[in-house]
Amino acid sequence: MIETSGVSKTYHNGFTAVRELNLHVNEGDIFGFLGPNGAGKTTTIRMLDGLLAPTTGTIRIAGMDVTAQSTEVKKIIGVVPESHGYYYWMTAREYLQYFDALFHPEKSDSKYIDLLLERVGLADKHNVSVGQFSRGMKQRLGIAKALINHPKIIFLDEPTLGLDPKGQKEIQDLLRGLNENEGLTIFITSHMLKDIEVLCNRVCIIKDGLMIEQGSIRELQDRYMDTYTILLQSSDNLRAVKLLKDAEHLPQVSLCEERIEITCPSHLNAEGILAVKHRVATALFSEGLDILELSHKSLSMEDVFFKAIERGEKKAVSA
Amino acid sequence: MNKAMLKKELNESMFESKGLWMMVAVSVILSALLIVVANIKEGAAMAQSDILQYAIKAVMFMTIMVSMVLGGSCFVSEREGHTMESLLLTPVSKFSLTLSKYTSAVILGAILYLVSVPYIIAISYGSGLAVRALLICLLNGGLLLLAFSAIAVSFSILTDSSKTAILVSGLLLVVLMFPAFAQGILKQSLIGRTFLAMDPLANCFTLMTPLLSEVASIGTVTQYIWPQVIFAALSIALLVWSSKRISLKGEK
Amino acid sequence: MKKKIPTLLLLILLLTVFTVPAFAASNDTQALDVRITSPTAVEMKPIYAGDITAEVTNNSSGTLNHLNCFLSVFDVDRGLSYNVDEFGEKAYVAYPLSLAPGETATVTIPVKVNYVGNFRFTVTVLDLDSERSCISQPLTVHMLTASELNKTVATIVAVIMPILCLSATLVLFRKRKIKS
Repeated sequence: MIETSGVSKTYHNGFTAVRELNLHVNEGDIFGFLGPNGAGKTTTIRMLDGLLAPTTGTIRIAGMDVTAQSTEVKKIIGVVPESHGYYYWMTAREYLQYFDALFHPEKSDSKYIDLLLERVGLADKHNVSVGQFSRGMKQRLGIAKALINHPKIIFLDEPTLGLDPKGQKEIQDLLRGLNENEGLTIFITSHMLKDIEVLCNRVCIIKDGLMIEQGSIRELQDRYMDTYTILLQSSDNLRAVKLLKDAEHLPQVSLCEERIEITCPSHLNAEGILAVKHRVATALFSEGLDILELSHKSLSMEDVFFKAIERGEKKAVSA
Repeated sequence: MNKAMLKKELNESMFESKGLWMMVAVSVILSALLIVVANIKEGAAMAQSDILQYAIKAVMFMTIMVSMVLGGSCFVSEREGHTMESLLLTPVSKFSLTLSKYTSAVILGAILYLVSVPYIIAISYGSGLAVRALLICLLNGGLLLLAFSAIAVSFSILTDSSKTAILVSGLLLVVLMFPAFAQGILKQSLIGRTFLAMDPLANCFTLMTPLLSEVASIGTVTQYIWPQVIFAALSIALLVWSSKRISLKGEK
Repeated sequence: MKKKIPTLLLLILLLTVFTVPAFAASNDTQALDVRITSPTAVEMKPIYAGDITAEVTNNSSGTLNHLNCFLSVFDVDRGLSYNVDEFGEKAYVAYPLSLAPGETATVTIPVKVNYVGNFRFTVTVLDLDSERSCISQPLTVHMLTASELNKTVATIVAVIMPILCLSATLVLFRKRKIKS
């Protein structure tokens, strides 16, 4: 759905915001675009939606060249910019009607506007002026505006920024619903790594305009996991720890709160890890201890992000 | 031109940017001036055609100022209110965007001219100069309105704050008005005469004397109309050129 | 004694005439004379465009080489004098002259008056060598009012228009409020 090839952007003052970006976003993806402040996220989004022309490289959206076919591209994308402005004197309905008329000057679709207001939970506030809206309501109205042209892709720049947990949850649910029910491709930039973890299936991490990582969240988690840690909860954790340390000679066993953590040696492959799990289970069952939970520790998106950034910095230094 | 945008711009100009209140203010100012002129001794000493000339100048000045204030803030306010990005993401072209905003500023100016029509008729009542006065007000004033609104909208595109856009356009108005008030030696000097021949405002003011005081035929004043036509054409060319440079806040 | 008093008075008079500069100048400028010959008076509306012709005569025994002749305007009703360039494109031009003894020259100053009022036009001749001047008799220019401002109509419009505009504004705002 979105393909960029060797995209770079250098501003008139000589500052290069994005270098050699190669993105690949599939149809139906919820794609997270991560990076620290000044990494080039907003510049990238503006290049993708055709507001900025790339200095080099090509961008194709739904097979169309964004630079050459910018008007056509604008018809199939919806954008919720980071600093989204509103005409505070308009009501929610007037605001949507206005953008509807800009996209479809020939005829207004009031039923679709009703549907959008319903979908973003603003149906009962349709006649309230935007100036009286809370931040969360404005953000939902912004999403409704981005959907006014029935887009295939929606770009959201920091959609949950400044929202309280309830507001964040509402936006997350709304976006997930749009993706699941309508098959909308969603491209999000966010500082809220939790948002990305909860919503996205694929991510890209960018730093100083350079892409550091791209892939599914699972792929990145696996890529950055140095050691494999088994998480275990038994009917008697204290006895279980003693047993595993003394009888099974597993040195990396520790009790953390309600769970036992068994860190496997880094040289072990998948079969070796399975063998360790088998040994642990057999030992516990033979001593009459029950296993209440057996799982493994995975990296959070935050861990992945910081590790990726660190790796990017090292790469930059060595380069 | 996009009708929805024009409607929104008119709504915004009239209600949110206090365009309607400006219209009331213009009418109050014109009424006050008219009452003063009609009732004071010094006013009575003036010829009707002179009063008419002053009235037309006042109407033109106020109308152009109001249109410039509205035109000068139209793009900057979108940038300052962060709504520009959403507009640029619609399929509406930059030129259409510019044209809609420009037309709105001109329409508001035209409404102000219409408000001034009864005043012009009242001042020229009995002199037989009403038609001439209205023609000057609407045609010459119209040309200047087109020109100065275009300049204000252009500066709104090219500068980063509405204050700068309005100030620069206002300054241009004052600078162009200056030769019209030049007196004596300055007026008769080569530079003075050159400026007077080229200056659209001075020419607009100058043509009022033959048309209203001397009741000369319209054909004799064409030399004064050309500078205004050329000025309006150049201003609109500037607007078209500027429309390609619409950008987001800070992007420049 | 009786003869002494008139003699004294005569002496005082003679002394006054010859020592006060104004009288002295007046006496000397008789050597130069300027007179507006045409028109004799102007009464017009709404505009007067014509030539003012003045004759300048050198009554002295010597040649006057550096004479300059120019127009001045006085507004009787308003008690003002004006920049003469407002009274015609060439009205501000000064005309240099050189006159032999007894010679008379004619100066033509084109004027165009489009102001309403009661004016006096004079032509001044200035002799730059002797730094003396001579002013012509005033030409009465009475520009009549072509038509007058109708105070009643003006006042009615001045009162009605703001009320109309204000009412229209309030109605439009109210309509908008109801709509939303």
